Amino acid sequence: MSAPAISLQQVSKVYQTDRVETTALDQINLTIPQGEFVSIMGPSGCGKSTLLNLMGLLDAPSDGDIQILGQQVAHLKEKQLATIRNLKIGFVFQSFHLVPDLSVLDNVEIPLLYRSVSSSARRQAARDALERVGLKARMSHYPTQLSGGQQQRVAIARAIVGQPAILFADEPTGNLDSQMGKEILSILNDLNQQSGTTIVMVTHDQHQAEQTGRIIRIHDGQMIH
Amino acid sequence: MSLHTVKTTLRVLMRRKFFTAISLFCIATTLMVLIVVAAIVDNMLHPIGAERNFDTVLIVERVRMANKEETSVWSSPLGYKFIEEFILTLKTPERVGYYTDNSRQSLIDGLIQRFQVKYTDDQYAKIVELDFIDGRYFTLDELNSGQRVAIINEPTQIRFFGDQSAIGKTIEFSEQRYTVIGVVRAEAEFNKAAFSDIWAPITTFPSGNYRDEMMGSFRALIKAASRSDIPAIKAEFEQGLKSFDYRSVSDEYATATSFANTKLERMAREFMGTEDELGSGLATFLMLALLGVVLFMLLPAINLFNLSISRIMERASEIGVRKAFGAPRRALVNQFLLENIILTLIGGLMGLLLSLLALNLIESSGLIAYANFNISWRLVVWTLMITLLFALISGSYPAWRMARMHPVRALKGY
Repeated sequence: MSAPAISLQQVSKVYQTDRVETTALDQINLTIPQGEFVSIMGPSGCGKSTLLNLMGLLDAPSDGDIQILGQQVAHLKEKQLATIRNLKIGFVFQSFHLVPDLSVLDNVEIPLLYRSVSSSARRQAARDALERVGLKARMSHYPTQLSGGQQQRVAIARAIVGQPAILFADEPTGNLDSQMGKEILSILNDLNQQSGTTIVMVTHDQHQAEQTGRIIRIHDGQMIH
Repeated sequence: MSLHTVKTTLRVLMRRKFFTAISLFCIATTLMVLIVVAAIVDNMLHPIGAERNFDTVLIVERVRMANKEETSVWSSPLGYKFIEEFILTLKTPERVGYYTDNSRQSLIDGLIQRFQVKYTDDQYAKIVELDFIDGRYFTLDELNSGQRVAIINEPTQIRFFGDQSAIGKTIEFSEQRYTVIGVVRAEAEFNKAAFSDIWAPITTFPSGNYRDEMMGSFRALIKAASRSDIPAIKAEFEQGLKSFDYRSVSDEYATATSFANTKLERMAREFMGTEDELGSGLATFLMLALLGVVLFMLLPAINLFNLSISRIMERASEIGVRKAFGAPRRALVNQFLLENIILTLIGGLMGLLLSLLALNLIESSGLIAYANFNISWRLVVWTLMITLLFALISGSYPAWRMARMHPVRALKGY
């Protein structure tokens, strides 16, 4: 039996300032098997994005253990965490976060810049990823020349270009109209079913969440069962 | 990776035109001033003209003489007697020569004009390799027989004779007529040993009194066969000064101090005011020059540094994305340093072009007589190195700070 994609044991995150201590996540236990499409729901400020950041190794927990594809990450150095992010993980953000100074193709190439990949292989992989999201014709455009839905599709192409095992999507349809939202969700569903990519999506949209395999609800930093 | 960085850099520069213009202005003007100063110094130390082989030449310019109690001290350029006693007797050098600089007047078309005249010996022209356009230098026979022959430079030929040939014609200064036997290219004023308008044999000097003087207006040039001979020549010269019985010349003198300097040592002595001191102050001079360059670069570097910091804050989201997708710190530092280097190199290139313009202006202004600056490969390499140093000074900390940004905060844009 293969290791779960993500495993969280008693994971907490506490933010500390001079005077105030805020518990963003409180003793979360969560296992997400490989190939699952999970959505995380909860009100604003409940800790959804914090949870996603911890699972995506963008932030470190204050307490507890995190395993990614069976690997303990607690004692890994920044460089090792960067390598795991680069090889195993992809991100899709609510506000796309495309680099405005780069063309669509150059944006999609970004994850491969930090791998030992030849320039031609990199460009071919980026073209393939853009083809998958139906934007090959726009590869020499710049982000500002695209609609919101198109920008999010570029962001998905960038997230999958390195064929990650896990994809984290933080409200990927939050800035899009419902039609565009449907398209994006459809792309994510295809990716999950065809490539077996584990997807963890934060969303406020109940209807979208119901289309995923499981809904995890968070309230005041705790999981609701 | 680098092509991606180059593309990103150029797009960033094009998108933030105001920032780019200020940065480039800052870099280009700083480097222009540095290159102009460096070009002048480089042309002084490594000229391409008549002093091109001066890396094996020592220059003796001054002598300090004192009585036994050091209550009476004299310091001045060399007298002919000094040269005769201490320079012409040296055995280690390949050859020695000397000259004395004088300002002379001449009447041309009813107007009094001033000229720089060098009275020299025959060996002078074998050390200072004057570039003859026409004619020749005077011979030993002409020197010994005191013949009034002169070599003039090209601008002097034009002043006296317009576009006509000067060879065989006569010029008059100090109420003496000289026959022109050679015309040479002009040498820049800062090449002191080579710079003059007219050269004439020392034996035609208006007065013969100079022959008995320990102190006067002469300079001596000592040519070594190779650079490795220089320490031995200096030692022989020093020994000669120590062992001489000064009472044989005059009761007034008991000691003499004088130094045979390379061009760089002479520059250091002039700058540090150590003409008559034992140490040339060369090390201090070089340290001060380096410190001067660093201080001069510091202000624009701080300016660029601040601009880089604000540029990084603007691009926090991009940094967050790169980190999220696995960019290690080193890759981000390299990327932003490379961006800074590209920006600085463009500024450096502009600075180089501006400095060529400024050097042209200095040449045509007559500020430095007969200046003809040459931008050597050595100078271009130094410029490149200074530009890179500038990029590293102004870019290292912002790049390091950027690479340490927390990915989550970077993605939120702060």
